[in-house]
Amino acid sequence: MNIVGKSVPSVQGRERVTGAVTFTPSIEMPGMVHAKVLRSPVPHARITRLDASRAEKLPGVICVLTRDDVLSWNINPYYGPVLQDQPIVAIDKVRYVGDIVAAVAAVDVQTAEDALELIEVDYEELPVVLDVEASAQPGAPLIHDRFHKHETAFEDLKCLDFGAGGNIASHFKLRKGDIAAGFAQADHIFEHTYYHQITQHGHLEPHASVAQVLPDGRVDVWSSTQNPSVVRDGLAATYKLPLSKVRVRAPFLGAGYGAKTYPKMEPLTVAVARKARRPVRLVLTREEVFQTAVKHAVLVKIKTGVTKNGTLIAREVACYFDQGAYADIGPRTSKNGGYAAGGPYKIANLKLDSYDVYTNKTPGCAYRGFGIPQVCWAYEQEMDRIAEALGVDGLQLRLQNIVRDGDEFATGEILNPVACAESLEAVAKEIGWGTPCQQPGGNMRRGKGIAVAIKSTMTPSLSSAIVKMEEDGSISVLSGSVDIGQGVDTSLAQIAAEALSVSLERVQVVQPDTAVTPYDQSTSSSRTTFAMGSAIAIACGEVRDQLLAMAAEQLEVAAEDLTLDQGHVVVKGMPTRRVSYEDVIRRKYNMRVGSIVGKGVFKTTGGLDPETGQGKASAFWFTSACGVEVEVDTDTGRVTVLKMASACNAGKAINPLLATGQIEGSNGMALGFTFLEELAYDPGGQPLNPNFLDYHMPTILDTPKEVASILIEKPHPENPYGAIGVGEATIPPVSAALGNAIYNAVGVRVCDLPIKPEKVLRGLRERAASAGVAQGGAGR
Amino acid sequence: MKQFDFLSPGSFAEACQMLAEGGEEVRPLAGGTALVILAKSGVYAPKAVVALKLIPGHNEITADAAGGLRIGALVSQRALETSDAVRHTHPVLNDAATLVGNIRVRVMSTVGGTICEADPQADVPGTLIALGARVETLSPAGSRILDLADFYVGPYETVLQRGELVTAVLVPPLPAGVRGIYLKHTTGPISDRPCVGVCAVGGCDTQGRISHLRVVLNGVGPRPLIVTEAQALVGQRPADVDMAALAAAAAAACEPVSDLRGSEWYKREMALVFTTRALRDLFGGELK
Repeated sequence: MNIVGKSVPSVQGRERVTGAVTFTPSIEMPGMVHAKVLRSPVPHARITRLDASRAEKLPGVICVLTRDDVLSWNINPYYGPVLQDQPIVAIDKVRYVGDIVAAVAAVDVQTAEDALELIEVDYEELPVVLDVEASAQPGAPLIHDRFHKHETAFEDLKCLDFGAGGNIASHFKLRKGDIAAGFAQADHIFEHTYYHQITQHGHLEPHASVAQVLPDGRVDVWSSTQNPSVVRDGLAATYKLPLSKVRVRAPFLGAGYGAKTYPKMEPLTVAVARKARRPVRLVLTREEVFQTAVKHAVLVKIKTGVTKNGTLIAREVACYFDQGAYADIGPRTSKNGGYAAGGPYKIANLKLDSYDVYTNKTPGCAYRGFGIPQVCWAYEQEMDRIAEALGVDGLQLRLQNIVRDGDEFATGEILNPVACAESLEAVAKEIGWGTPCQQPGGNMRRGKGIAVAIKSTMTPSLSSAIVKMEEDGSISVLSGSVDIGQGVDTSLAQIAAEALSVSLERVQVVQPDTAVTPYDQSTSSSRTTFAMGSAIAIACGEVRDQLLAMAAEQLEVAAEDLTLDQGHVVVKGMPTRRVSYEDVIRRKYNMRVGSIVGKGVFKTTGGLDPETGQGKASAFWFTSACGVEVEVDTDTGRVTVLKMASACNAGKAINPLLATGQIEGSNGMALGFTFLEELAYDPGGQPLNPNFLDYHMPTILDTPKEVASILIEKPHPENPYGAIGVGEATIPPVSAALGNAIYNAVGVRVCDLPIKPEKVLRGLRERAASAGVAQGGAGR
Repeated sequence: MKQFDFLSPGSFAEACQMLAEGGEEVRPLAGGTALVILAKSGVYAPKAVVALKLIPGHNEITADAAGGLRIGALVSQRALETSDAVRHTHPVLNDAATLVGNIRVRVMSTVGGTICEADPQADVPGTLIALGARVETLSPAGSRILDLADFYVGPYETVLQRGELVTAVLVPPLPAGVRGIYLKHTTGPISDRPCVGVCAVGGCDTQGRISHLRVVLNGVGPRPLIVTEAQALVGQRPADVDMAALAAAAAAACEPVSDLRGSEWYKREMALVFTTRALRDLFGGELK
């Protein structure tokens, strides 16, 4: 292959980092006005009075959007990708600090901000529910009196139970084998609880949207979104418009990590634009970003039955996903976390339950890893506990139970390809598993840890592409996949360049525009290389077939005897009989006009049984492992990561440089939520640190001294190049590997993230107190 | 952010006049790393800011023949971090400045600004106190010189009067055989403010007796904590001194507040650990 598999630098990397490209917050429209949002200062309350008349009179204010507007229009005032539970602006209640109460459009941002202070709102406060487990209990104060399932809900969510009632938005269950019999056969039973905290994605570009409603009612939106097609679907449902009358464009995106999937600010911005009768731009502040989308906190209760020879014979897991005030895509996050909660192991008897539970906090949304880092934090620390109790090596115990090619997963589907064992072995080798750490002495203790993970991708899903060969033989790729910084404009161009044998410089991937680019489900779930890559390859095949047919006629040879070579159609075995693509088109029409258009649709299939969770969950599986060596300061509890090795199956790395960048980026994020990050709330439901001053993300100074990123290439049969995704592959096992390494170093097991130095020190003190002497762990 | 007037005086005297006449809602702005955050978050809305950065003549570090320093109020923390003059006379100041936030913060923020913000978690003011620094101020009433140790009233509160500005910091020469150590412990990223910061300045005379010792803790009370017990050790041999008792005294004296950087218990523990480490670094193997 010429270009697939080459480490080409990102085609827009330089322009992005120098700010030469236009991101949504910088888009200007003629006559555009600016929106600001009034947000709830209380976590749960009934709105008893709302008066915007003073704000409306402020000079420079165009309009104030309130519940009166959205209720008076013929629209659906509630939206949401699964459950239509989120109002464009609060209607009867507010459900978290930051909930949207009203919005102002004004000639400038300052005037809009000033107007917010003139809106009078009376709140009648209601009981607040913050604890996810308490919120799931019958009798907990109700956060939603009612909500509606989205008519166009995704196929894969049909296995969920939306009727559990109370604050439970959805319930996923998986039943395999005979759980009671499984535990009866076990020689040892382990049962523990783990907690993964709320974090925010930290995307540099805040959420931003520009919207206008045209005089004929059409809606035109530019938005910082990862899935323009789904946003379009949401807007069409809200505003009761045909999909063709809603146009969503996704300009350059300043990162997303999941926070920009599904409708976010778009329904509100369109509503303001509709009332203002002008184009409106809304750009959130950093504080508002923390009030818009976060990663789900998850409480995981895990119980495992193990035979004396180390076989995992039964596992029962209950996951409580802290959904916050609105469901967003949480039913899917909790479902995917649910069936993966047993881990990448062959376990004959499983009972998995995953609950998506409302609380009075910022809504949980997609976050890189999509529920798996949370459950992996639990099951992989549990593996080390089991290994220790059985007196066996943690790597051996994992390899003994691990799923391999051809094995059955929890859902009953056959896995192929997976690289759990290969990933584990690769990272174990990299960190010198089995050889003791060199202990520096004094108050420093070193230890090693490993963890392995498996994750699904959105299934079923659909991507479509149009590939045009222009009259000069250059290639335009019309794809709805968003380059969110991960580099798909480069890797998708590589796929097209390879398929049509042109240089990368001759290929342009067109920016997503729902009026132009065909349907793509989402730039998320690390599905783009696999799904859109396949669609583009199919479309390129159509272009190729047409081109060859034209050339065959012109050259008077059979199309089968022709091939493509660097912009030329060539007669096989006769390299001098060649004609350029441009000339093929010119000869066809006797002019330098026209283009060759190919289309490609790639759809995956699957679905799970609602009662048993059996079926097909995923078109392909991310499998990865992490190995780390850490050093713990036993005086302070501070942990330094000395070495970090990550491995995953890429199927085929279309661009190894970008794929490795995804691994390194995943590791940086995982270090953040393992050690530093937590969006904290006070007991009254007020967020304590919704800003970058108090919410701490790692910087380059906090990254490990030594890193190794290992790409395993076990090709997938459904992608023309064997590629699968890597964007989220290596993030799930990091926290558990670190937790295991800390235990290995000092004998302290931290079960609730983040692993703050204080938690480690408290563990050390408790250990010293119970042992009567202070001593570290054995050190591997 | 609320709009405010941007006043640009030509001299510190003019700036003081503007502040004296302007009232509570007119504030001086140097690097802006503190004030702008407050204004953006809506916590504080100044009516006007008096921008000091364009005033000439206050951004230099000069060393005198005896090894003392005069640091202009508008010297950036980055300049402090990288100054050869400072490295020659008081390298602990370079060390403390290096640990402030990130490079963007250090480039923008000023020495005078960090002193006057009176954030008890700041790294540099406590270090300057340990070095015995004084500040030179100017107001419409005239100029005065204050001991930095007496400068802080509480969190974000100093003895400065309305219309009074710090114009320079005066750092006395270090006595012979005396050096400084600054240790910073963060529970967040390395760029975070300290959970605990400890500055110890001390050394021994030619007879091996402690000739000077000053210990100041950051981040564990309403203002930099001066460990007064340290003074009493002057004249003793390090080997005869119960340094653990001194560290314990420091930990006992601090008044930490539980927050996201650690509980009160943890901060006190860290005060003990890092005071011990600073003393050990200062006096090496001579410790009992």
